[in-house]
Amino acid sequence: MKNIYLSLLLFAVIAFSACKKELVEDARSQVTDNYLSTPDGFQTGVNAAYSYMREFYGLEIGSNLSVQGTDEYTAGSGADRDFTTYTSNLGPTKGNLTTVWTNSYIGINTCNALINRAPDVAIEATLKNTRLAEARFLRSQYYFLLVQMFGAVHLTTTETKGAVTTAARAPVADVYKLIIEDLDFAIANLPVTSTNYGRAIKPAAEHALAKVYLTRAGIANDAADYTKAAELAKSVINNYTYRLLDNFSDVFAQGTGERNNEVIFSIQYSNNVLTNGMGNKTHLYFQSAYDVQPGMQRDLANGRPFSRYRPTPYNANQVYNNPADGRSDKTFKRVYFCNRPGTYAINGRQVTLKLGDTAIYMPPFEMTAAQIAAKNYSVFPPSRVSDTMYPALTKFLDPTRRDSNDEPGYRDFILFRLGETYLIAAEALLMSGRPAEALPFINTLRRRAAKTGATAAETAANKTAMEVTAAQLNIDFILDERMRELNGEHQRWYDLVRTKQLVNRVKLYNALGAPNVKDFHMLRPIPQSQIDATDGGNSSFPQNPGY
Amino acid sequence: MYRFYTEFSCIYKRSTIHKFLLTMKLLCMLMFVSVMHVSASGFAQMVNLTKNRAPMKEIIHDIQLQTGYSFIISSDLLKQANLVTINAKNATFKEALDQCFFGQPFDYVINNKTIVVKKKALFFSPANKIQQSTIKGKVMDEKGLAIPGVNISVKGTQTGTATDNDGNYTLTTASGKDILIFSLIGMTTQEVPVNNRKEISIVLKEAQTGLDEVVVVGYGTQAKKDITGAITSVKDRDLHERPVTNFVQALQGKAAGVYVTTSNSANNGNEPGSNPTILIRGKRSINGGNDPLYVVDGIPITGGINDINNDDIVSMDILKDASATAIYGSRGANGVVIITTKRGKTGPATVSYNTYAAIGVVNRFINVMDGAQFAEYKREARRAAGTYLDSDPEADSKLFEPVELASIANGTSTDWQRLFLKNEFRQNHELNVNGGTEKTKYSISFGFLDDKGYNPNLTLRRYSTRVNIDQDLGTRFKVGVSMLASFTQANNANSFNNTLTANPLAVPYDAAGNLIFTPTREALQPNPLADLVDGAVISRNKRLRVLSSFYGEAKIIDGLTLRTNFGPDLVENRSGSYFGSNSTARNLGQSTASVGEDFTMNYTWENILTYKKTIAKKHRIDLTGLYSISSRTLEATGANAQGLPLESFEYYNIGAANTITGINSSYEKWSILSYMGRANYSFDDRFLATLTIRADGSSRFGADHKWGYFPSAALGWNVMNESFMKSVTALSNLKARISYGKTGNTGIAPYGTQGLLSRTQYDYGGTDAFGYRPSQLRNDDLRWESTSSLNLGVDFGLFNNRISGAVEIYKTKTKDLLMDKVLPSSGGFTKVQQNVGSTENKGIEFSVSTQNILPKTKDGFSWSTDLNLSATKERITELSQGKIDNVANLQFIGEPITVYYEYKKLGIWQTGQEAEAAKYSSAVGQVRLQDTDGNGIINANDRVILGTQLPDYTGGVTNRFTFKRFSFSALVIFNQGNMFQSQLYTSGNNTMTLGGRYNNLNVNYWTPQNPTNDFPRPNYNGTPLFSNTFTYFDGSFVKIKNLSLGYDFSEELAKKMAAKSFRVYASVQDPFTFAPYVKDYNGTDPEIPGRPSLITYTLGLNISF
Repeated sequence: MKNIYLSLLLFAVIAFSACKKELVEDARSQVTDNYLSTPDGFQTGVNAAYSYMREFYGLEIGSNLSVQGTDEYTAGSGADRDFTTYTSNLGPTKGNLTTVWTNSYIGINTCNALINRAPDVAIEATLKNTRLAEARFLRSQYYFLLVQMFGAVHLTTTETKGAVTTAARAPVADVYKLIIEDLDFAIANLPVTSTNYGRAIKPAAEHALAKVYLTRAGIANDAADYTKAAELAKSVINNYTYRLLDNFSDVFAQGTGERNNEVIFSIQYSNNVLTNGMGNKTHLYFQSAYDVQPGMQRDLANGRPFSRYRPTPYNANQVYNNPADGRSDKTFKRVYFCNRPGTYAINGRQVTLKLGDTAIYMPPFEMTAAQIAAKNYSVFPPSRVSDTMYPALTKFLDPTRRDSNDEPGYRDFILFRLGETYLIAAEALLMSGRPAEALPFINTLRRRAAKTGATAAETAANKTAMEVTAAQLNIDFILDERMRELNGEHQRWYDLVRTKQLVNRVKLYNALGAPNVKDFHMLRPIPQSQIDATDGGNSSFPQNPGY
Repeated sequence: MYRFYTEFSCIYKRSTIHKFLLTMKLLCMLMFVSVMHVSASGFAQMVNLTKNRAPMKEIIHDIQLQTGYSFIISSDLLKQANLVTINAKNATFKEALDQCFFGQPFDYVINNKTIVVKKKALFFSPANKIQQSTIKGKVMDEKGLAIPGVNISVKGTQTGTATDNDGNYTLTTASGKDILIFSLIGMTTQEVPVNNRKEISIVLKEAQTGLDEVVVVGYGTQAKKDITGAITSVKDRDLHERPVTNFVQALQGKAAGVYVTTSNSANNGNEPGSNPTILIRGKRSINGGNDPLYVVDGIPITGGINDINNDDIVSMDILKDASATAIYGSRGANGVVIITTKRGKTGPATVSYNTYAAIGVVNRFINVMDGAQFAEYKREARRAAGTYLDSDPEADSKLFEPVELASIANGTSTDWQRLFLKNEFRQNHELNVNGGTEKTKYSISFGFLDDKGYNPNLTLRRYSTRVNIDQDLGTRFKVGVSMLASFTQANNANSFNNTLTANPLAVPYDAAGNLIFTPTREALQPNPLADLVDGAVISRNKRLRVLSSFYGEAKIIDGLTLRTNFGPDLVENRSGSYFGSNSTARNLGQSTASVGEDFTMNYTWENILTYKKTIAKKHRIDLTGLYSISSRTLEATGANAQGLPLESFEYYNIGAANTITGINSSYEKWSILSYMGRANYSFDDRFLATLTIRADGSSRFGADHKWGYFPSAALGWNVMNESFMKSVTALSNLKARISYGKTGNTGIAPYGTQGLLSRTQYDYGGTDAFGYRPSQLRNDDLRWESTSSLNLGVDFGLFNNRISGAVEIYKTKTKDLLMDKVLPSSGGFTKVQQNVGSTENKGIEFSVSTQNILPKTKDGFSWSTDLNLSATKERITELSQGKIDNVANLQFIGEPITVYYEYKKLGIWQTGQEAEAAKYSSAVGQVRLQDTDGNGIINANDRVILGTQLPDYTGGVTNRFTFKRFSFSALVIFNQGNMFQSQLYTSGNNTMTLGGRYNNLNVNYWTPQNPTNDFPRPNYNGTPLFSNTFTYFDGSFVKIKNLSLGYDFSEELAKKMAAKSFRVYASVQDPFTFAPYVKDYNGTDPEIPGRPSLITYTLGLNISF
């Protein structure tokens, strides 16, 4: 009997001693948040801050919120048309808006955590400053996206530690103030180059700040801001080794070509699937359904057609109005060659197509029925172009993917390139009343864009033909030039908003958007989830007018 | 020795029938006033007894001492006894007894070595006997053994007798037209008309709901009469008459309040080894999970219900109310299913072999278009888009490709489903050896299940063994083990959906008989049959589980027992998949392969102290104390790769692939510490009380909230045992119960309270740049979800339990729901897990078993019915922002947890309604919606709650018939009033795009010539507007789930096969389904809408040696 009582006692002892130990959580494959304060953790935090750029640039959301619903692109058959039609569906519950809002703030909170914790991180001072500058550069980019889209947004510079249910809309000026402070710090502390290609560097920060000043200047037509923008752009153009490539299409040559002398900052993607995340998917969205046309099947070179964005007639057929301009051909694919030989019914008769024969042609001009009937391939002049069949933007195509249906692409998303720096400089100078100073930037860019002729003389003639005069310069011209140069490069909606041309241009050139677009569309609606979750709801976090 | 029946619980260890008698006799007496005719011939033992005016108690005591006979007499009766004066010298036992009982208000019956004392009939007198005819006979049980002590009474009179030791009886009745009633507690009462017979022998069957039936409760067992909680037991026969692969499937339709269904979204209900969802009394938790806790032989298990061979299970006890589940504390809120496996029985070894073979035949295919219908649909889609002109003679040749044109011309069509599907074939074998001595008992079984599903990539094969041993060590100690080991190999790649969208105008094979990989120009539609080519698709899972429970038990002093259980549960899972370049998934892209492995170590260690004591005869107490620790550790690894150089590598040489696309490993651990105490108290078998409290500490919660406390209390009143009920002869059982208590739900994953970082991927020009960013806010305030529930129950039995059953009503309130509180994402977090929100749940359950027709003879016809019906209503009472709907998550205050919130489709806009349609930004041929707020605009405010996932009521009916050696059973299950979303109709599935591209469900779509209101017009330019509105369907159904016919060979025939018993049976599962979804929408099955439905035919054999 004694033994039994003893063993009972033993049970109790074991029980109580095991108790404490067993109830402490044993986290091994999880990483707890104090890691960010360690030297290694701090560095990984910076990496994480970059990674949220990929949540916008390279996914459909990025292009939905930049190219659609502009004078540049309208909806293809696969598109979420709401971004083009400007109906009430483009409202506070629109998923993409919530996503960009949330992801930007995740990026901001990550940057805030780094910036707040930096003083206590035991890491070499120069390196720390560089990383800190990168974090502030990235924070400025997230805030810049937000302020352009939503106007007055919540402004926070401290890491969120607990369940925060309050938020307020800080004045737009305050947001710009922070963006400029961050970029000033970045310019002061970032190196000119980095051994890690793709990290933020000083010229990237200058380009970014030039764009920020240009944009802020647009709000109140502030001459000082225009001047600063011009100076910063000039600095990027003059102070570093960047130069415009001779051939416009080389800018988007894939592979090592992506890292060329014109690229200042690009969102990094990689052919290492372990680091590539979801990949750059932009290659999917601008292609139309070539693959169901006679003589065609889907292949890597032509891409997987998601048919999201169709160039507006203005973009496809009119904006490249100078015959010497080589960029139209280098921007759009209008001819497809047979990759599925066979006999097909084309233009009302049976045609046998051999490999490499022309199968599809989409001229930028009209053809008569007789002309079409004479062709041995499918013809889509502007009148027959539809939201399933239209000229395709080629600059994002990614034929190095593993197979034609693979969605993740490998190519970097070029965010800042020198071509745009020229345009920033030109716009800033023009807007601050110095068209003569702006002109060289425009003409340099346009000469580069000239068609290569059969002879050197012909090329030279083309270059001359591309030149314009200061008198021709106005904001419309700048916008057209931006379209020609930066076609599809996720700039357009912001360009139109900055120049307050959104309503005007959509009404002129985008038939789908024209009936509904209003002035209030120059701001996106604040996500309803943000308003609903904020203490006080709409009274403490009011919606943008019109929504 | 003698005992009064208030404490006779463990007197005898004789044949079971004998023990049965002892236990039941007096209750019997209280219920039936009948004349006991003594038949005590053959007693030769001499008695010497001289007493003057001695109390009966003393007399009994003395006779017991002299003869060794024991007496059973109620204390009430004893009080009524007259004083006895006796002078017996060398009297026979019977003489002595007759003297003692002379003039007493009671009489006696001798059974074997027991004397049962019963109240005397009021109107019995020898004079009545004179003109009466005598009937003789014998009463036997189903095994042909005599039953002593059966009451036989003449209906409508007080005349009666009882059977003797050999089961024989003699009775005199008034006439040959009388009806005899044979009754015995625990046996099914029978009424037999005399019909002028002189000899009537009958077979009595054991009643299904004996009051001393033992029910397994948590950490022990209890007699059913002592139960205060809501517990449903599902026994042997109900579990094993259908060819199911796991025990959850076997529960369908068998227990009130237990709702078993296939998850509509999983759509795998007829795949081998599919896990149905099981809800006990509806849902309570929104995010924390509503799965019950499974306890196998005392050890709570996590996951893997397919590992347990259903054949090994003898009973499942489902604990439903707080009184029953509170002892499982934080894991009890969703109900507990206690599974008991076969244990050894004393006796020579019995070898039994059970087997069946089943074939599943597709009886309803998904209704997709055939070639001609598809061609017309394709044309219509272009007509609507304006690109198909009927006036153009070339229109077809422009639209269709050569293979389609040929099929149209020939009128041929490819039925991809029928090419893809084959019959399911399932076989199951179970071999069991069972036996033991008084000291050692064992049960050993081996099982083999092989299930080849309806396509070659769906297979399940399970080998299982089970060893149960109980060993007594001396008189005080006992040890034992239950061990289950199972090895399962499954292949579960199912690309059936491809057959629904494949072009019926295409052909699968070329002229030479080779498979055409891309049968049409549609590059995204490879040949569905490509996946059936050997080696093209592999998705294999191998699983080994060893689930054991070891126990040691010590009787410390009388009534005090210490038991320790240790239950290690080890699970090893290995999965591998390979998709070749020529598979539909890869569609000529590079092959992919993946491997994954996880190892789980669970253990439970419990120490249970119980104390049982009867005080002053009327007070029974039963105390239980528990300390336990439970822990689960999961370690997992995995890798994925693309571009395998050789097909033969499958997933066995992933390192050789061109690209490693992912590699991972993880670790997870949680522990629960528990203390539990329970007190059962019974007063005079009339009043029952149960009090329990459990304290659980979980590693998952923050330091300040680790511990949760879960008390419960219950009261029971055995109304039947009240003296005032003695005259109510129609009632054989009546008990009222009430319970109230609190249970919990852990509800969060491990590490849910920690501030965590998430890994990110980036790259600097080819240099990897993995990162970490804040992703989960630290929250030390999280605590348990807790459910309070009130249960009222009544158990009843009528007409000697020919009708018996229970009614339960309950109401539960769950608060502190672990839900995501939505945060303004401007803080960088969209949510934080918090204890917010609450739900309410109430319902009623009814179950009844009736013996409709009792067999008049051993081979007579019998019919019995078990019915259960339950209705539960759940509603959300509070959400993360208080009493405010969370529309984004489709959660609404006052509504059930899962609702369908959508625009309501009224029909289709018809020709002539152009202007009105345009007003609502719609068009003719498109879905016409209800403008709920009537403001002339269709917007988000017009959405309504269309329905809910949970049925209004659900239930099952089992009817059983026996005749001669045949037995027949039929199970019908039904549910009513639920709604489901059929994936076939949702846009993601591509089966209802109405875009003229993929093959489509064969629906009645609108055309200008066919102005239907069913489905919109196909249009090549895009999917229909508001297509979600036609994806919801009434989920009500009545299913004849199973019909089973069995035949027991006679003992003689069985003996010829050297067997003790031999039974064959045939069954058909799911032969008929009556449902609006099937009838009105050509659906296959509202439970498995996306798959063909099968009828399963089974042939089985049970043999024991």
